[in-house]
Amino acid sequence: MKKRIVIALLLVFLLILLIMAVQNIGQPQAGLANVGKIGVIEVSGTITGTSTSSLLQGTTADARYIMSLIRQAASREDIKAVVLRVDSPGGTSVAAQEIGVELDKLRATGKPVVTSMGDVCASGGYWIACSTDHIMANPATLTGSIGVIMQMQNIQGLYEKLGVKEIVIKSGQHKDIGSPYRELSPEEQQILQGIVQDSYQQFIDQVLKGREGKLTREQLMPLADGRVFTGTQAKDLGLVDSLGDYYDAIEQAKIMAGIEGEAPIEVLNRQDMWKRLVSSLNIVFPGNQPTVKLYY
Amino acid sequence: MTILDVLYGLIFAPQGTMRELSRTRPLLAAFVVFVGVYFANYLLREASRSINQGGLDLPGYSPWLWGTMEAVVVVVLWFVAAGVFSLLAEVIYGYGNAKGLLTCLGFAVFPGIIGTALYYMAALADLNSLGAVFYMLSVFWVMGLQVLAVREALTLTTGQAVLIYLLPAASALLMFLLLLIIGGLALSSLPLL
Repeated sequence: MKKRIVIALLLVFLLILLIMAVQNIGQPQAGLANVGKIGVIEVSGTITGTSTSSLLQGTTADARYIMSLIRQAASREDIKAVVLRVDSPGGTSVAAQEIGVELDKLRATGKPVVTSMGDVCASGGYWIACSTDHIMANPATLTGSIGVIMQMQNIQGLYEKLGVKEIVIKSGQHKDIGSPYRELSPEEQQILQGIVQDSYQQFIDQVLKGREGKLTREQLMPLADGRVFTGTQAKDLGLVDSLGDYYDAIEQAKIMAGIEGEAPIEVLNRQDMWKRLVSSLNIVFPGNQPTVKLYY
Repeated sequence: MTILDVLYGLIFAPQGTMRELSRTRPLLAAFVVFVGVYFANYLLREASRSINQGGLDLPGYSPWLWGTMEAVVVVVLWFVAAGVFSLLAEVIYGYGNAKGLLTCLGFAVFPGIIGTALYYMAALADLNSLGAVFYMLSVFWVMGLQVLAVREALTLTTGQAVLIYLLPAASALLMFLLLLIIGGLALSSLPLL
């Protein structure tokens, strides 16, 4: 009987601690729960408007998911500032724009947003960085790549070799613009070039808006030809505000939010094992994608 | 012997309990206790880490993923350790009992959870030094139980059990040092650029 009581007490004690531990994992220090937190949102991989990572595509940043996290950061009272950790070569135009718009809304709530650039923060990655209050890069970060690209394949020759003939019935002359089964006509090329130019202009406007007071149009235009820069070069050119690592960005966010002392950090999109496993099995076949897409 | 008797015995009468376990070999129960203790330990350590770092998480870090991967490695090491200890005892002293030893080693980790629990409590109370002392004491407790497991499962004396327990680690260290010396000699004989 004595044995049972001793072991039962021990097991109950351990069970209580385990329940507390499960609640504590990844959470801020006990007692600091009500002070200002820094929320971290990761943007890793190609920014897309569709599903997350797959075995064939590598890591992608799902814009819908990131937007939901930004909205969560905006609505949560305990989060006083946000660090956007970007490690992305860019992505689809709309996905970057949507994230940018949500970041602007987040900043409108008065919460400062700081970008911490990882290995790469280029093109669409830089677009979203321009929707934050402070951009911090590592000296060796690759950034910039301000420009728009649209790529298509022409597999007409392959189809001819295979004996496959594409039959198209369309309502208008340009309904199958960008079709991979035929050459692009000069007129179509002009139409698509116009789209690219318009989208490029939107990118320029976004950078000018984000870098207002730090970069003029005259200074920006020579840099906005798609080239990339190191973090150090970008700092000298005014594309980023300062150099520093992830923790420096956290510090910057704390300063901007007026947080003194310790500030717990919460990575909002830390994925558990099952989410990673499921997302890695979410294979997206190239055939499912629309033919023509704009990429920043 | 019920599981409660075993757990009680591991804390208050380890010698007799280990002897009984090496004879009855309840391997499934040992596996459940070993894995359960591992995950409980892991959760408590992660929670302590979260407290000590103020939730200073790095992007991309997934405690659940690492925990599961680590669990697989730990279970494999448990099997390897039992196999190696038993093999060594058979070669040196002519008696092996891999299954009995595997069972005893599985149960031997149980008191470790008490140390980790106290470490977590100390972290909650911001008494990390005291927590580290509790943790170290529990590590020595588990090591002592493991030596006892080797002794009782392989019917050795305490000295022989300590030798069997330390021999693999000592051999690995010796091999590493030898490789370091050989590597150093080989490098020093290379022509300088």
